Amino acid sequence: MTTLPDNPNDPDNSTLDDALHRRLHDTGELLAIPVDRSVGEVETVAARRSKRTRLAGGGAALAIGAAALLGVANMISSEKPDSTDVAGAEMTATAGFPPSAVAESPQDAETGTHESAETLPFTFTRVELPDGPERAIQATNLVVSDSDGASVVVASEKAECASSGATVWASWDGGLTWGVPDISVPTSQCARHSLADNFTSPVLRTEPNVVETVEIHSATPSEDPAAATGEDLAVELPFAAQPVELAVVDGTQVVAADTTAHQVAPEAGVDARFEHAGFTVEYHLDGEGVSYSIIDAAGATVFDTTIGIDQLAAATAPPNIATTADTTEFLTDDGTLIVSVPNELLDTAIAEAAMEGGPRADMLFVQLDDGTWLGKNADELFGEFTEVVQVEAFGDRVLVITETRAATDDNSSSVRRDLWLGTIAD
Amino acid sequence: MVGNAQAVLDLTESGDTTASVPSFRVFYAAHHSELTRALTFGLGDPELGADAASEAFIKACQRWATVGTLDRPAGWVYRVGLNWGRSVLRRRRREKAKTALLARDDISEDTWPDIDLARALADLSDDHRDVVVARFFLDWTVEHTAAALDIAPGTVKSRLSRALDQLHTRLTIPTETPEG
Repeated sequence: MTTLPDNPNDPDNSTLDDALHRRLHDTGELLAIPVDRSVGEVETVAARRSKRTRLAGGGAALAIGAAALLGVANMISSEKPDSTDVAGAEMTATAGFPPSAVAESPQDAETGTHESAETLPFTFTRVELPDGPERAIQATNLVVSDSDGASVVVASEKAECASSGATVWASWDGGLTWGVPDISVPTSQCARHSLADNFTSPVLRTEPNVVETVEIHSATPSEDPAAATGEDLAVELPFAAQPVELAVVDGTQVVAADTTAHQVAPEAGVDARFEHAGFTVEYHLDGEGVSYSIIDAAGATVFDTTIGIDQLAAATAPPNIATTADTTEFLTDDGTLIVSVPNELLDTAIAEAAMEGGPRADMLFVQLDDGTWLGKNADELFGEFTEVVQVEAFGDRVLVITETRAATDDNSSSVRRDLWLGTIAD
Repeated sequence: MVGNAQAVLDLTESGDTTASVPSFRVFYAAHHSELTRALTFGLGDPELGADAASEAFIKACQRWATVGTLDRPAGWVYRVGLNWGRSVLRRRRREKAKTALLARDDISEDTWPDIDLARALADLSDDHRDVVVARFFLDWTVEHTAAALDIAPGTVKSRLSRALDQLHTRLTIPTETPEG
């Protein structure tokens, strides 16, 4: 038995402390520890996770980011936004937030301590969408994707496809300009709104005319998808997201996934299979975890990875927050977990954790490397009274879509939807 | 503490920068067993303790370039493992309709060689149990315990004092008395 280096207790209790020390060690020696991973297995898992991170966020031109199909169609603004909101179509700078405004983490609330988190490690900037008729449809059916680890692609489809095709905006780090809809997908492709129900529909997939006519402010070098290696084609999907389509934009592939499938319990099983540029992507979710494979035209598996169910289980809500279908969780490529929690869930959580402050707007939580959670009210992050309706994580960034409601003079209300691009602070 | 662990500490405290970062394998061999058991005590479940240790070591391996340079990587792994395990416990708790985090009914003699000790530990708060395990099982100093749990040394002492009061009341710790 080792001797305690220093005994902080009453010397009168030293005998009892020594006895406790001995009982702990004796019990520890006798504990039947389940068979655990060998160091080699640990290194293998670590390497696999790291490889997944590198592939998705390392800047490979064809690394495909997670995408989501936002199927919300009932929150369209009753008024056109003031055009001054979007004039210039340049980024407006909305700063971060002072440490003093950061909400206490739920962990603190539960343990009864009240150490404020320093800051939520994201600085959010509001993304301006272009003015024009398309502005009115931005609230519906957005498809948000990271196309190459450095850029963001946002596509919006019209609720009524009969008269006009879907529109895609794009933004790059260089200027973050959300330009006029340079990309007009032919009307013939507008059946995509049905893809959420049928992801095998070959819409927006590989039609040559789509590839050839698409021109985004080309800050990204065009590459031949068919020449991509298997690693370049690594697919990162939210764990329960269901791929709904695969498109090529300026040589960059975009995978859209239906996050309504995010509500599916992992055990329920989701399978998907789709093809592009001679590669087949197979995606499978079951009780063991998520796996996806990329198979080349010759039938050889060129990329294969699995995220174990244990890892998925870890990617759940912050302490005190019930995980439900309405809680959205996203992992950035560097492993940062972001959870968006709706207000109605927070009320329950607040009651459970005896947090003070009463009802509040939605919150965003971020889990740091050491497992600590940081959280912040959405309205403190984004202003006014804000609800988070969508969170997407990619690379080291997070895109948040919010809705802000405001009463109008005629006693009705309007809803404005904003996009916020968050960058993890250094 | 096993010999390998001491060797790692010797390396990290030697001041020789070229030798100050042990390999992950050396670190794993030195600390895996004791940290798994410590996390088992802390989380009250051998299976969960093993899972938490595995998860924490995987994270450490991924970040070894950074974690390996810490004065006490074992402290980092202990805290990450506790955080991970507590998240799992919280989720289980909700799934079980808010039953007790560590229901004493779940503590069986099949699992715990010293059932009284296990129950007494389970009755401690998480904060108190973490400190007790760090000090009395991992044999860490107050300063090392404070660093690992990211609390002040004074907090370690006060939590330990209260925890020991509770344990001494709950446990009938045998004292060695001469026969007759």
